[in-house]
Amino acid sequence: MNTVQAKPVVAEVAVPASNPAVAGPELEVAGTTGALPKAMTVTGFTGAFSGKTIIEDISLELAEGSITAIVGPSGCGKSTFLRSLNRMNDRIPGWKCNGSVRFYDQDVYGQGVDLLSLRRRVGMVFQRPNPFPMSIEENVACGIKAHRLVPRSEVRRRVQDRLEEVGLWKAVHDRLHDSPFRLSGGQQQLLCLARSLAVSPDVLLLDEPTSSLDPISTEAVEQLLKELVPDITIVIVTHNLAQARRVADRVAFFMDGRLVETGTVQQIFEDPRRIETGQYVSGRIG
Amino acid sequence: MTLVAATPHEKGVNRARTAGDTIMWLVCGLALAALVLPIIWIIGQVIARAIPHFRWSFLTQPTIGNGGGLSQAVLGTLVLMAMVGVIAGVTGVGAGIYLAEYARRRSAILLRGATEVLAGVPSIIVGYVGFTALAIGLKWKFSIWAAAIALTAIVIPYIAKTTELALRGVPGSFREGAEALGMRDILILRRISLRAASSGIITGLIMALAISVGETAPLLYTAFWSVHNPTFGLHNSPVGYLTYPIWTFYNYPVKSATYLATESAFFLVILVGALIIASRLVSRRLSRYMPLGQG
Repeated sequence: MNTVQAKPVVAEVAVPASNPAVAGPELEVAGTTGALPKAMTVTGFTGAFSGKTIIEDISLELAEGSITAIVGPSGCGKSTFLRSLNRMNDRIPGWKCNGSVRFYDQDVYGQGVDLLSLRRRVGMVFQRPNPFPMSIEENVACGIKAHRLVPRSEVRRRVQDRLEEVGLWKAVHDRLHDSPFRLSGGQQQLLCLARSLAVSPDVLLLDEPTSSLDPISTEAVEQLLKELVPDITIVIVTHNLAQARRVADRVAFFMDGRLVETGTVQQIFEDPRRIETGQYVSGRIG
Repeated sequence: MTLVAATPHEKGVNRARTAGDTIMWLVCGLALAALVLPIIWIIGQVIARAIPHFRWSFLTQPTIGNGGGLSQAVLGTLVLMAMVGVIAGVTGVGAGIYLAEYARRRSAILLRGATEVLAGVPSIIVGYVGFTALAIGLKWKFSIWAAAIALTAIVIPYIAKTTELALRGVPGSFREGAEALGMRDILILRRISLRAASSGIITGLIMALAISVGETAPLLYTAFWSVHNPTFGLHNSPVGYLTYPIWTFYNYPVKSATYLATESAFFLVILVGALIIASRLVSRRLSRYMPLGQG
């Protein structure tokens, strides 16, 4: 499954000043190398709720097949940024944004974008497990059926594959018709991951996916994330710096609605370029 | 091991707490008793008056003059209930879905206001309007359809409200999860929201039916009364129903008429009880996939 053998070599991309698409702020690279394709490219992105700016002038690239952790103090705009990547903020009254978010060569906020297709390809898992009020099997199958990804006769097989992929099959194979709310919190979150993976996303956005889980469940989720790359590009918002260190290839540090710094895990934690980053990772601000 | 002794101040606080608790228990107990005892008394009275004169022929024979049975009234009530279930169910649930999911601010205020006004209109006025508009205006005369429409008008606000509240009570995380999967709105409504709200919606619908079978005034104006089994003719098809004998026959100086009234009340109590039990069973069945403590 894993076709990229080596862990990404990290290098900042030299952005040509003449490139109008990235003119202005320095384009931060939260991926592998500049040569690898970028699953998502954010340029000068600003978002506000009812006139109050939440994130400002964010420029960031997410290299294909990488795990990027977004860290920062509470209220710094991490989740808002994450939800901007698949336009989950659109429905919130008062949401306004400008700047560019590209998913490969497609402008996410452009005219004629099929939101349903975008969200299928840029999936999301939330802080608290949110299984649907239907059986365990239906939970995984509903996205497959909604997008008619496989013939009806193969849905069951796909459900099993996804449940096996997240390591839940053994625990639920004999109670697929049970309520998902009978599962433990960790199992529910794995089910939500299976549900998201069932529609074959290219990018998976995770908003503090383990914050309500116990350490063993957290480890299971983290292990799964590591196994999912490089087939899927992962962006994970986390408050847990140790988790960012364990799972991520790159870390983006947000503060007061701005992207302060991005770099490799080693660089951010051991040799941050910005004072605020150093203070945050050392626990002096939080 | 030594116990920590309460200080005089703490003892005072504890006494005040105990007194407060006792008063609250008393108030709540009295409120419960005020609610439950009259219901028990009413149901007891109905059963006590009906059982001694009960004959199975009440269910198999139609009314003959002031006597006979109630078969056509039982059938009429059941048919009316089914018609109201379909007509009011579709329109009421539809209105509730619109209010919860689609209505913009202005149309929501308008529609919500209209349903609240309709809910506040006395049922006899609804019956009278049904009489003037349908029986007289459209020349239907007394008709099962006029009766069903009048009853529908009475219960629609209730169904719309319970549907709206049930849908609004669906956790936003369900919708958010479905949106994040790229499911289209109509699918989210059908497969997630309505499924999550179905227990509340069905309970509301069944309770609305229970309300409708207990109505008399609108039916006097629209269905009138009949000793024949109901027909579905639009014109001139009066229908018998269970609340009519209670209203009309109870004070007749003939025993057979009084028995019709008491047996009608008995059958109505059984029907309403069955509806309440059905709503509980359906609700339990439909909420089997809901998180614990919800649905």
